[in-house]
Amino acid sequence: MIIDLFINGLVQGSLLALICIGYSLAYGTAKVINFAHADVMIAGGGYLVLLWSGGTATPEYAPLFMSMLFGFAAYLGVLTWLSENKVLQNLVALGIGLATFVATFVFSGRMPFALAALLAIPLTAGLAVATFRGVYLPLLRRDAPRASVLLAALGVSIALESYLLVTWGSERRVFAANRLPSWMNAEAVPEGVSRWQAACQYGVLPLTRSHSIPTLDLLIVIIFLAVVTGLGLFFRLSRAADAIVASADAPMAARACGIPVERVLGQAFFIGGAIASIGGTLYVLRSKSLDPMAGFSPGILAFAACVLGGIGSLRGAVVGAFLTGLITSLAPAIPLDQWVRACLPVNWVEFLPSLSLSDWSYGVVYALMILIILFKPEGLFKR
Amino acid sequence: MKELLSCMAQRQRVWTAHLLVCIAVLAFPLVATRGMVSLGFVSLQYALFALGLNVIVGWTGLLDLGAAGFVAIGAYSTAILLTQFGLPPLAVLPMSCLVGFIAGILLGLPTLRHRLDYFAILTLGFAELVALGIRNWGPITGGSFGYSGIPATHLPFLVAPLRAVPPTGFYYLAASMVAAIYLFVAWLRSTSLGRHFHVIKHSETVGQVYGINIYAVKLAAFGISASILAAGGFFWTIYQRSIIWTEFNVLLSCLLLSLLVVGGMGNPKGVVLGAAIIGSLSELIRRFLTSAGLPQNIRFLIFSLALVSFILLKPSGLVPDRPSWLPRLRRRLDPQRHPVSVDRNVSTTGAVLEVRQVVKSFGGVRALDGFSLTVEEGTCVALIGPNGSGKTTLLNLINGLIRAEGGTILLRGKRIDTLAPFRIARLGIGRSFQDLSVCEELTAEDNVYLTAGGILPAQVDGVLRQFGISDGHVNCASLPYGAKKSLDLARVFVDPTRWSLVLLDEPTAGLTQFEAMDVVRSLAALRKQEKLSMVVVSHDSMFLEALGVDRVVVIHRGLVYKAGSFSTIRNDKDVQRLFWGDNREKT
Amino acid sequence: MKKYCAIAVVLVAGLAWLLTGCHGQHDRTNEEMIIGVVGPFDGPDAYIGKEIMNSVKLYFDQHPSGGEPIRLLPIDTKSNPSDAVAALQAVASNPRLVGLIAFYHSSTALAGKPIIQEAKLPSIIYSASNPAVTDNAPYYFRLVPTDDNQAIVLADYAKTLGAKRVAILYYADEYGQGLADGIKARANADGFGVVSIQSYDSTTTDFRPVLTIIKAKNPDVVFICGFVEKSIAILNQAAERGLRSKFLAGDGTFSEEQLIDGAGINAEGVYVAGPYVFDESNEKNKSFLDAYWSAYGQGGSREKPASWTAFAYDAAGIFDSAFRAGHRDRASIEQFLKDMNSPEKGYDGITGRSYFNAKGDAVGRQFHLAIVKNQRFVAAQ
Repeated sequence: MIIDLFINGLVQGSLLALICIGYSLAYGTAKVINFAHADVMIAGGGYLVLLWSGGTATPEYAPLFMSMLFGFAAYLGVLTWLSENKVLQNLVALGIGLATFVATFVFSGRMPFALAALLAIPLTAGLAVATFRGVYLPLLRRDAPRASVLLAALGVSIALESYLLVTWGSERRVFAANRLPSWMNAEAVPEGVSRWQAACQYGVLPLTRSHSIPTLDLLIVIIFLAVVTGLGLFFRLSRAADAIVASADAPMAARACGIPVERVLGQAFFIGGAIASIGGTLYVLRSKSLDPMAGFSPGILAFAACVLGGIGSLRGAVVGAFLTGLITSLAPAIPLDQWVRACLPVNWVEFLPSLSLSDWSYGVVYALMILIILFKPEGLFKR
Repeated sequence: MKELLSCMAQRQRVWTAHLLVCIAVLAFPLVATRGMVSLGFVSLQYALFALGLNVIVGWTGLLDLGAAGFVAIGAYSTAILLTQFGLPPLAVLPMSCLVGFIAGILLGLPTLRHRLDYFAILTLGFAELVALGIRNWGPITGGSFGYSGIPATHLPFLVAPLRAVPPTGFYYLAASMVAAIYLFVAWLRSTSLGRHFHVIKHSETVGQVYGINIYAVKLAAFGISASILAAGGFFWTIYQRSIIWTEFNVLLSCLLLSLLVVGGMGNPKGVVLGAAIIGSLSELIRRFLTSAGLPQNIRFLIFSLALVSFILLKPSGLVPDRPSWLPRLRRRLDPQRHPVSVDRNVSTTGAVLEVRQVVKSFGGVRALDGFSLTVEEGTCVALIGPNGSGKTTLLNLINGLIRAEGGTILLRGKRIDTLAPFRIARLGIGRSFQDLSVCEELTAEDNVYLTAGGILPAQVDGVLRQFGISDGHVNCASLPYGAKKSLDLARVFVDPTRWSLVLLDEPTAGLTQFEAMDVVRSLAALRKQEKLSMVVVSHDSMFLEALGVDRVVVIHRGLVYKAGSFSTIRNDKDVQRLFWGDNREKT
Repeated sequence: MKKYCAIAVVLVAGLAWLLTGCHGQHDRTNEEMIIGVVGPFDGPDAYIGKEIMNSVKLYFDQHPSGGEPIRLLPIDTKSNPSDAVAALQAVASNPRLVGLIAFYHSSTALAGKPIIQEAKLPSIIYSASNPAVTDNAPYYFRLVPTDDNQAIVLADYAKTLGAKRVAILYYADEYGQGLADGIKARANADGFGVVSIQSYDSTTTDFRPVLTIIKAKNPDVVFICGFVEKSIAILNQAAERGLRSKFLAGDGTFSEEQLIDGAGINAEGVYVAGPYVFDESNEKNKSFLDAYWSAYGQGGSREKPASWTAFAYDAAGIFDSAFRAGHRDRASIEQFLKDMNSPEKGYDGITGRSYFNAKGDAVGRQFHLAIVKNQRFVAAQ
C-alpha cells in the first residue's frame, strides 16, 4: 500500500510541479502571485479536449466561447514574441487571432490528438500571456499597491473559472471513457497478458506481482522529466533566459541595457503557460472530467508547494511540488484518529473533530503551508 | 429651493441627506413590491459584510482574502447557540460577534507580522481550514450534513415570528443592524484608533516612529472586522435557516472583496453603495437568468469581471475615500493628553544617547562595523560621510526599525536596542526621513494631525508657518518638493515637548536655499527653546554651519573616520579628500 | 463623481422596478393552482430535475383537467440543503401552492422539513430514501422504499456473493451515511466484517489514496453509497489502482445513461440497487416510456429516463385524483393523502398500487438489484 501511495504521490508531484514552475516564473519575474495560473492550465486542458473530441459533455455553445477565449489569447500571445507598437505586427497578430478563432470553431471535435495537443500548447501559453498583459502589466506600470495586484490576480482567477463554468455548464462533465485511446483508460488486467500488451490495451503497466502503475501516470512522470530537462537546458543555454533572469532581478538596469523588460516578462509568462498547458492536458486526461473549479485546489496546493520549496526558486518549486504530492498521497494512510482514540477516554473522543486525515485532504497541505510561512518563510531553497 | 440649499451650511446639508436616506430606507417596503423588498434585503446584507471587511481592507490596508471564514464562524456559532442552547436571537447576536472578535484576534496573532503577500495567503489558507474544520467537526457543527433546523426567529417585542417571506420583517432588522454598524464604524474612524488605522495604511514606518503600536492596532482592526463579519453571518443563519460548509468558500470572499472595490474602499458610504449596487444587480441577474432559463454561473463571471475592471480602471471605486473624517477627529483630540512618556532623566554620564560598537550587515556588506557615537545632553551632532557609509542605517538602528547584529544602544543609560520601535519613540526619540513620507492624499494640516498626540489648532498653524508652508488646507500632492520635506519636519516639531532627542535625516536635501533658511531658523530656535538634543545627517555644510552644530562625526565604511568641531572637520584635509578625492580643495 | 453614482443608482433601481415589478408575486389568475416540483435543476444532478419535471408535465399534458389550470413550479435545490431551504422559503407562503412533488436528495428533504411542516404543505416524495425523512413529518408522503430496506437488500446480496470482507465508501450526507450505517448494522447477520469505512464529499475528485487504502485491506465487496457523478470517478480510479473487488452501489448510482457513459468498461459487473426498474413488458410502463420518448426523446434515443420519473409520474397522478375529488387547498389535500392508508384506497399507477402507512411511507415497496451486463442494466439474480 505504501508503495502504491508513494507512486501516486510522485505522479501528483509531477503534475503539481508543472504548475509550480509557472507560479515560480510569475512570482520571480513579475512579483505577482498568479492565482489564475492553475485555471489557465485547466482551460488549456479543456481546449485540447474540445479540439480533439468535441466533448460530448460540453454544451452546444462551448466551442464558440472557447474559440473566443483562445482567439484572444492567440492575438496577445503573438504580440509577445513580436515587438510592440508597430501597426503591421498588430495586424499580423490580429490575423492569427482571428484564424485561431475560426479554426477552433470549425475543427472542434475533428482534430487528431497529437495535432490538437501541439496546438493547445502555444495557445494556452498565449492565454497566460493574455492575463499578464491584460491585467498585471497595467498594474505594474502604474506601480499599483500590492493589495490591488493580489486582488486583481484573484479576480482574474475567479473570472476564468466562471467563464469556464459558463462555457462548460455545471452539469456532469465527465467525458466518455470509451472515446479515449485504450492506453489512457485503465481497466482490470486479465491474467496471462504480456506487460507491453497490458500497458497498451488495458492501460496499466504491471511492475511487480502486486504493484502496477497506470500507463498514463507513467507517461506523466516521463513527460515531466523531459520538460524539466528541457527547461534546464533552456536556462543554461538560451539568451532569452538570461534576459528573463536580468529583468527579474534588476528591471531598471535591464531596461538601461536595452532589454525590453515588459516583453521579456511576457515571455516568461509564455513559458510558464506553455508548461502549464502540458500539465493541464495531463491533468484533464488523468481525471477524465472537465471541472472548471478544478483549478482552485491545485492552485493553492501549487502555491503551498512553492512556499515550501522557496518562492522564486525554480528548483525549490519542483522540490516543493513533489513534497506536497507525496504528503497529500501518504497522509490519508496515517491512522491518526486511531492513535488518538487509543490515547483519550471515550467521552472526549465524542467531541473531537474527525481526525481521519483523508477527511481533511488538502487541509493537511494548507496547514503545512501556514506553518512554513509562519516559521520559515524563505522555504528550503533560496533563489 | 436652490437658494435655500445654498444658504444652509455644509454640515446641515449632510445631515439632511442622511435623514432623507434613512426615511427612504424605512419607507421603502411600504411602497415597493415584494420582489424589490427582498432585493433591498440582499443589499442590506451585503452592506453589513462590506462595512466589516472595510475596516481591515479599506482602512488598514491589509488584504484579507479569507473573509468567508469569519462569516462561517459567525454563522455556525449562531446556529449552535440558537439550537443547542435555545437562546433568543437578540442574545445570540452579541455572542456571535464576540466569537468572531476572538477568532479575529486568534487568527491575527500569528499572521499580522508578515508581509502583505504572505498575510493574504495565510488568511486564505485559514479560511479554507475553517471550512474544512466545520465539515469535519460532526458532533458540533453537523459536519458535512450542514446545519438545518434552525428555528424561525422570534423577536421579543413581536408577536409573530419574523418570516422570510414577505421579507419585510428581516428587511427592517437588517436595516437597523446596518444603521447601527454604520454609526459604530463612523464613530470608530473618528477616534484615535481610526487615525492609527490610516497611518498604518499609509506607512508603517511612520507609524512606528510616532509611537503607534502597529501590531496591536492591526490586531484591533482585524478583530473588529471579524466581529462585524460574524454579525453578517448571524444574519445569514437566521434568514437562511440552513447552512452548509461548502457555501463559505473563496468565491464568497471574492464577492465580498468586489463589494469594496466597486463601491469605494475606505469610505463607508461608498462601501454601502457598492454593496447595494452589487447586491441588487446580483439578485436581478439571478432572477433574470432563472426566468430566461440560463445557467446561474454567469453571475460569478459578471462580478469577477467587475472586480478586475474596477481595479484596472477605477481602483478607488465609485465613491472614493475622502478623509472628511479628519475634521471630526480634530474636534475630538484632547489637547491635554500626552500619549508618550518622555524620559528626561539625566544619565550618569550626562549623555543622552550612547551608541556602542554597533555592527550591521546587509547580505555580506558591512554597513556598520563597530560604530560608536555619544551625544551629550542638549547638543547637536552632525553625521556626515560619503554615500553608502551607513548613516541612514545608523538612524534606523537607533529608532529600532532594524536590529543590530552586535553592540548596544543606550538612551540615558538604559538599553533601547532590544525594544520595539514604537516603545523607543514613546521614550522620546523623534525622526524625520530622507525620502518623502507624508501622506499625499491629505492636506498639510491633516498630515500633522494624523500623527499628533494632543495639540491645539493654533500650534498646527504656527508650526506650518514656521517651516514655510503658507497654506495648510492645500492637498499635499500639489505642494512643491521642498514643502513636503519641510512638512515632515513640521510634523516632528509641532509638539517638541514630545521628544528629547530628534534624528534628522537630510532635512535640507532637495530644498532651495530659501526653504533651507526657513528650516535652519526654525530648528535653531527650537533647539534653544526646548533644549533638544539632535543628530543630523546632512551633506549641506552651509546648513550645518547655520544650525550651529556642536560636533561633527565623519563616518566612512561603517566606522568613525574623524570627529571634532565643525571648523576642525571642515578644514581637515583627509576629510576633504574623502569627499572630493585628490587634486581638489574646498574653497 | 456624484453624478456617476446617481446615474448608477437610478439605473439599478429602474432595472429592479422593471424586472421585479413585472414578475411580481401575484399570480396571473386567482384560480390557478400550483404544484411545486422540487429537485436539482442545477449542478451535477441537474438531469434528474429535468427528467422529473418532464414526467410530471407529461402526466398533466396527458390528463388535462377540465377546470382550473395547474401550473408546475420548478423549485431548484441545487443538490444542496441550504439552497433547498432558501428556495422553499421563497415560495412556501404562496397560498396558491397546494402541493409539492419533492426531493431527490435526502439531505434536502431533511433540511426542508421544518419549512414544509410549518407551511403545512403536503409533499409527495419521489426519491429521498433516508428513513429519518418521514420522522415527525405529517406532511411528507413517500412513494419510494426506504434505506432500511436498501441496506438490507445490499447486505444480503453481498452475503449471497459469499463476501467475508467488505469495505464501505460513502458520500458524507445523510443518505450516504445512513446507508453505510445500515449496511454496517447488518454485517453480523450476514456474516461479513467491515474492514474499511471511508467517506468523501462533493469536493472530492481524487479517490486514489482512499482506494489504495481500501485495496490494501483486500475486501471482497466494496459498497458505494453515493451519487452517480462520484461513483463514475470511483469506478474508473479503482480500475487504475487494480482494485478487483465486486462493487455494490446504492440507488444514487442507479442511472444507466450516466454510469455507462462515464465509466464504460469499468462499470461492467457492478451491481446497483434501484427503487424501480422499468419493465417494457409491463403495459403501463410501456405506454409511459413511449409517451415519454415521443415527447422528450431526442433524436429517437430510447435511453430510459431515471427510475424516479416513474414515482414522480405517480405523484402527479395522486395529486390529480385529489383535485378531481374536489380538494383544492393544502389541508384537504393533506387529509386526502392521509386517507390513502389501505390497498382499497390506494392509487394505481405505473409503479403499482401506492398507499401509505401511518408514518407516511409507501407500503410494500422494495429495492431491486441490477447488474451492468454488456453496458446495460439487467436485473440481478
